[in-house]
Amino acid sequence: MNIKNVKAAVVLMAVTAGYAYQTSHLPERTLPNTPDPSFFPWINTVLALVLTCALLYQGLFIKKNNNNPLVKNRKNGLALLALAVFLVFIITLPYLGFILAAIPFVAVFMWFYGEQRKTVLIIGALGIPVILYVLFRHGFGVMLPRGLLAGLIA
Amino acid sequence: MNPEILEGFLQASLPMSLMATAAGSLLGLIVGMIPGMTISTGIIIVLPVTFVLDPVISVSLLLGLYVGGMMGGSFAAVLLNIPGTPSASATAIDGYPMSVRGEAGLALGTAIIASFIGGLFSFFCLYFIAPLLAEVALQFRAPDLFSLVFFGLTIICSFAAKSLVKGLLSAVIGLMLVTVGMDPVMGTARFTFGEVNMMGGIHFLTAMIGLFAVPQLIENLISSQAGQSDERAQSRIISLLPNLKQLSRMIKPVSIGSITGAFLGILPGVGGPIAAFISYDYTKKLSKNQQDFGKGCIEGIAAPESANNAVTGGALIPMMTLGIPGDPVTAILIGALMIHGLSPGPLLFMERGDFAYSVIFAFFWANIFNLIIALSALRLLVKLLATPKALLMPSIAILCVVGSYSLRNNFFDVYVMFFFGLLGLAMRWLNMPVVPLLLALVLGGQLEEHLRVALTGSRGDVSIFFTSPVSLLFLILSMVSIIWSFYSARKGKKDG
Repeated sequence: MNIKNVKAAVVLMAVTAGYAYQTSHLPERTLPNTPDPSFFPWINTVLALVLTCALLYQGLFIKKNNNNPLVKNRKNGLALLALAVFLVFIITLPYLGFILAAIPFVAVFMWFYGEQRKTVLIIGALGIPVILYVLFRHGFGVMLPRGLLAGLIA
Repeated sequence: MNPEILEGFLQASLPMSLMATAAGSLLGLIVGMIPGMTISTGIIIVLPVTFVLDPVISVSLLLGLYVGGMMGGSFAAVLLNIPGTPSASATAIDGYPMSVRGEAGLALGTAIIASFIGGLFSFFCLYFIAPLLAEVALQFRAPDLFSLVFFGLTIICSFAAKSLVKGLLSAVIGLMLVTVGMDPVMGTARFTFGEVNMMGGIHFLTAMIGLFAVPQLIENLISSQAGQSDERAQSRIISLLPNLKQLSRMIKPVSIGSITGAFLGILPGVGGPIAAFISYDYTKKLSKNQQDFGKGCIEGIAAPESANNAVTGGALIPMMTLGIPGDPVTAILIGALMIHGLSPGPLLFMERGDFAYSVIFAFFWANIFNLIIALSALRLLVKLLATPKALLMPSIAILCVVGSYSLRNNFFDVYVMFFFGLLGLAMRWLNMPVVPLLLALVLGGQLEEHLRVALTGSRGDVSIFFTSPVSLLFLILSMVSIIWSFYSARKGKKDG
């Protein structure tokens, strides 16, 4: 038995059920001989159901053959931590602004990637956000948020 | 001469376009050669820039990166025995032994010249075949277009997946996601949950950034923590250009590689790695010195390198003429063109012939600049193999955010990107390929639209898909593709 496939199949079945429920609530159109807006989603529902059943079957009856490095590796805790840091960065971005949110993010990520030297960490954490901010905001006209620094920087 | 051809050539040859092509080639060579970086990552880096540039300049930049990335992958393969891109895997077989023998310069020189010839050959294929194919495709009606898109989707799924069920499931998830937003025929809101930001649907490029970049960031983090330190190029690069005798030995493998690569590139889903290995295999079988292969011979580098670069021009043919992407990079190119309101497909040649030809000539210039930059700056480029990931990866993470935000200056897209990043990680955890999902996101909208238009036209009669000869042909090809992938999967399991 392949537990991973079974778990995935169960999750995907739940998603398919939710998708089918939403599809059944789509408004109907009364134009003659015209497929409704729900026509294509119903096809997707049937396909998803058939394939998740096939995945469930594979998970239950086909021998496990796992060589996925992401699963084998014991460092997945750090990966989750990195994702959490990334999430904090994108959530705080609109409020703190690009530069202020990016400085701690870059510092933490550099440290995660093995950079231990304090000087390099400080230069990288300050330099990368500032360079990218100037390049995109003033070079390419991307309106990156200024946040708390709104009155201080252009 | 057709005035559109001349106009296309002039647009692609403007100083800004040429500079963009050169910059793209340089960046492509860099990202291609750094293990752990892919051409897709390189495109993510430049994507926010392309939104503000003129379409021709954007395409020049992206094509330069595409072609450069293909060539750059061979540098790491030769010097470190780590292919920079999957397409360079076959190059490592003979490239690395040559490097160990102290012939790294010759191996790289062979790779550069073979890549250039392969790329140039595929340019001619693109130039001559694409307009003809576009003219044929203009005759297609809704049922034919549906079957064509369906064919593109099935062939991509079958080639992208090690497990057919997971590959198809990945595509279906993409098709489900593509239904979020306004219905393409009637404009009904679907699966938006009252969220205004979801009315426009999920932007394909946002999804692409998340699916490719976030898992790569995490995988690189895991590998760096696991103590897999970056190796450094050990070999000194002395002579770069092969002599006449060595050049003559390259003729046969380069011819095999170029033809194989350009032909396989046209088929959606085949891609560089398959073309490289097939051409390597053919060259070896046709060689008088089969025993030299694998020990470091220039034929073993010339064949796969010409093949993987010939794939680039081949892959542009279905993209330009049918709107069907041949690989993830051409899928991204379609997305980048859509940002500028340009839809690749047969109408592109009719409505914007000048632009279509400017893409073709930009591809030509990309190959030229690639050769020039690779030969002149190789020694400097090789030093970039030592770029610390601690600086590179946080920058890429920030560029992912900037890239998704700058699409519509909207934070919602950033959150969508992160969601797709998590989805990409979950899919890798499950050994489920992300490419079918990505391509379903590109093709799904067209698939639904053509299906519903065809059924509306036929008053709900599905026989329309079987009575049209073109549609029937594509449906038969789709069946062949699915059966073939079942057969290959079973054969692969039997062979162990």
